[in-house]
Amino acid sequence: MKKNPTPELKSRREFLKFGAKGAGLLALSPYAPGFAVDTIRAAGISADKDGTIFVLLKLGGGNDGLNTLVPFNDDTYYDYRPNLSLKKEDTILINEDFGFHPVLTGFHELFEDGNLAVIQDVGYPNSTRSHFSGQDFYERGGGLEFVGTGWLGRHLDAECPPDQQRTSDNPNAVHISRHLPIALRTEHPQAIFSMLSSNIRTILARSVADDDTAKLLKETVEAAQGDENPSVDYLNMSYMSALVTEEKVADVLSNYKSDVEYPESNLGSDMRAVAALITSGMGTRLYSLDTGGYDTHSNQLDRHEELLTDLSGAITAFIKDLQAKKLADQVVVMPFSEFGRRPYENGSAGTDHGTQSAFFVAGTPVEGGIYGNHVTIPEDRRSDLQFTKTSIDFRQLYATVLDRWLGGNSEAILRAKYEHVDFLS
Amino acid sequence: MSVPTKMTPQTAWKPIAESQWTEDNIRHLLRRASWTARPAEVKRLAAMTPGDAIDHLFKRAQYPTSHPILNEYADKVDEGLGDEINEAIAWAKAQPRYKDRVGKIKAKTYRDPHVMAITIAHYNKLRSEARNSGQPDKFRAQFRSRFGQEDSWRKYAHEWLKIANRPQNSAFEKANNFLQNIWVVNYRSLRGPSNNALADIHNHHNVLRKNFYESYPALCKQAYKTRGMGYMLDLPVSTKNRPNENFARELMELFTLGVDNGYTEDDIKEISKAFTGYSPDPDRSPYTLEPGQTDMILNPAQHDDSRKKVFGRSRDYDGDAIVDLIFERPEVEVFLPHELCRFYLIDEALPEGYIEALGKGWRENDFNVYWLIKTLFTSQLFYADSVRGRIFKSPNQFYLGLLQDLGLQVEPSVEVVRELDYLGQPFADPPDVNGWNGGAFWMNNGSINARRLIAQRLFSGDYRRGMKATDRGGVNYVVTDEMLGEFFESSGKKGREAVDHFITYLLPVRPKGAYNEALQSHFAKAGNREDQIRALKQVILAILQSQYYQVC
Repeated sequence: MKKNPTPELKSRREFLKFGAKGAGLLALSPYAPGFAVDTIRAAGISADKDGTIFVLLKLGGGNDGLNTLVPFNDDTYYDYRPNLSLKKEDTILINEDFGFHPVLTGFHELFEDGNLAVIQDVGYPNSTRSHFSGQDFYERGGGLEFVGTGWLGRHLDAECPPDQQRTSDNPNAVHISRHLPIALRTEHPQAIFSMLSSNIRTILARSVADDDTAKLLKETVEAAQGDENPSVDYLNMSYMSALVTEEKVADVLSNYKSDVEYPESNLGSDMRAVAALITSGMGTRLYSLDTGGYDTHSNQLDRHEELLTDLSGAITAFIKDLQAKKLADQVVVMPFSEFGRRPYENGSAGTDHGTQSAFFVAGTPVEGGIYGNHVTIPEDRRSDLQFTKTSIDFRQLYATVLDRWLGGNSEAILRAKYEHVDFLS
Repeated sequence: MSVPTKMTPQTAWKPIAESQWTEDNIRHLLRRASWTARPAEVKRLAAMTPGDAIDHLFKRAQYPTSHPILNEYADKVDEGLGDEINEAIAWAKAQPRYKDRVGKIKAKTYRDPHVMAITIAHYNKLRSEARNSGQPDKFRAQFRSRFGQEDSWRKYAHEWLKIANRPQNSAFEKANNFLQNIWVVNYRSLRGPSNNALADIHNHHNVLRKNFYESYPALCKQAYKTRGMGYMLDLPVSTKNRPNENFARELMELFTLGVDNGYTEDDIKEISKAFTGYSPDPDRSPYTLEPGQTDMILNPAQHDDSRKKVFGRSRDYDGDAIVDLIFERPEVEVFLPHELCRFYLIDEALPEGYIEALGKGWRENDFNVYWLIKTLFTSQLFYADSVRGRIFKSPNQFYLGLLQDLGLQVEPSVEVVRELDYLGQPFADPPDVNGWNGGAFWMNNGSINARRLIAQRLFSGDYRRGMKATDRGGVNYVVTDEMLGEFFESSGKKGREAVDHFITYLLPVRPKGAYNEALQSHFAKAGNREDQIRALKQVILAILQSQYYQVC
């Protein structure tokens, strides 16, 4: 049966389920007011300017781990990639086994400062090489048993269940992307703010320069507050929070002075926007960003260089910006990608979809260093990296973040116990 | 929800009296049954009886018998394949699995089902070889965008928008959106270079259309026999030795009974045995089906014909027999009526007994789908005050309703399909087999933002590159200041009346006094004609972007 999303607009089944137990406020009125009074302090994830902050960044396409964290002692790497491999002397050495891709200078700085965890050989067993399925798997935190929700969404649901919905003008999560990311999909409505982009005009829905209409809209939306129609009134909540938050956000972004230069790219602009929002004290704890282009089937050297320059530049600028504002201790950033790429290069100067990859977690709270075990490039050049007992399941990273950083319960959210990786204490 | 005093579950579904067939009620009907209430349509329906009006509204939509985009796509594939067809056939001759099919080829075109199967198998072989050899993958371009499938899919969606925007098709197509959201086949599950997502979804939708006036059990028996549904829920791989439970589960959970509503896990296991052996008919091509024709058949060799114990009964059930069994269950009476009411009536639980009463009537009328729809739209309950403005418009509803309210046609550019995507309802592509959750799920600040942007773009004459506001035939794609000016002149409405006109015309419920006043006082500030036109535009835009416009 299709889900009924609003706690008070129940399907017949759910009405029978909840009605009997009495869902607090909801049992008293046929329709709960938009800003429900919250006397129970929701733990964990509600907007709180002193709370821990987590930034999830999707690298769409499948980032090539082998050219990001280069295993220059592995001869097979060079055998398999006569054209694509990076010479040891070109990489940025981080220890006797690895070097970063030459453009990851920012990452290197972070690494030297102990603010970057590098986790080798991350993936999951029997992984898919399909972009859609792979991204969905990562965003859900598993397979179809989680259909309809994302791993961070389930955390929001656990921390802000419907009968404890917080009063807040401040969203509990913000995403900067066209659609609500699956990672943030929830069972129950949550205060999630959508930024279609970090472009202020888009945020304010000003496709044409018409400030008068915007003003009139705001006036009339306010005038409609308290309409008797429950559906209109439900929208009043979304509208007011949308308009109010939109203006607040646009204001914050346009007035923000960063202490560093961000890359002039969408990613740079998005990360700057997140820094601005954090600095404003809005209190949002979860941010989700989206960037792509990592599907380097051809011409990988040039494209990957551009991508990593942007990635490293944006994340490093972000952390330095927050450090200057003395806020960096609250923030952890984790990029993820749906799979790594095949060790053996293809004939188009690129690589095909693979399996495990190197992951990174950045931020001053992070215990920097290299985690995990070396990948073993298989002898059969047609093969991909195998997920073995020494590989790290990406859900271990999620569990670490959920349990040690976000005050959550990873076992409940991921429906299994995953061993932590010690990049967070 | 509250119901009118004295209404009971039995009287709720009785037809309204002639005296209740007012223009106000007809507008409510049109906003729900169709995308919006156009004045001409209101007048037309007012001259009919309620029953005739519903019949008129829900006349079968004119959908192309031979869809131009499907044909264009098949041609594109043929062109793209070129000589590969011969290579594939030569290869197939040596394959035990395909050599018999070579002899059955009637024409060397992708439209021939045997050529299609062979070229797909051949392509898969080549792709696998290319991957493993690490050789230049000359099929890279094909792998990424095999014959421009994504392109054709967008065009197909664009065609649908145009078809659904025609008022005579609107109600029928909207009702089919409802059915498509029950028997869900989504694009993302079927897309891929070795698949025929466009054709399979087209055919699946056509089967739903064909059975719109039939009984729901009859519809169910057809709907599972489409390739689209087959691939969606793993029917082709469900065989006697390895029955797959996906379809059995969703048949009951999502299509007929509802979650855990009258069946057990054991029933699912047994039922999955009944749904073994159903696979694509090798002699039928998805490109040359008659509208509404199915293309899966039962392969006896793969079918488990043993006795299955279902709902406490035991027989050698096959798929159709299971459907019949399901419709003997009492729980089946409430599932579809409940979903229908969520879609068309109100997104809230009805008082106890109401759905049950409707379901009982439904059973008495052989579970006829159209009977359910017609009963709903002629019923006392449907026209109750408490129901007004209680449905959140879906993106399809919002977009097409907006076009019809403004008297606009769908823009010629295929890019317009992205609008639906931004609104949260990419064409025929809900996230999973559960379909769109709908209701309040359509509304978050991002989708509200997207709706506002669309309204602005359409209304403010914001053209896409190269697009004209009006084509040579006088068809309007966006609202221009000239059009507004014309309305102003020709309507004879001035001042408060002009504003009031749009409030009544555009909104399904009367807004709060304070809201109307805010609009009126804004308009009143305008002095000369030019200012008034600008103010009117701002008023209309504010209305289109308001909360009130998002409900119907």
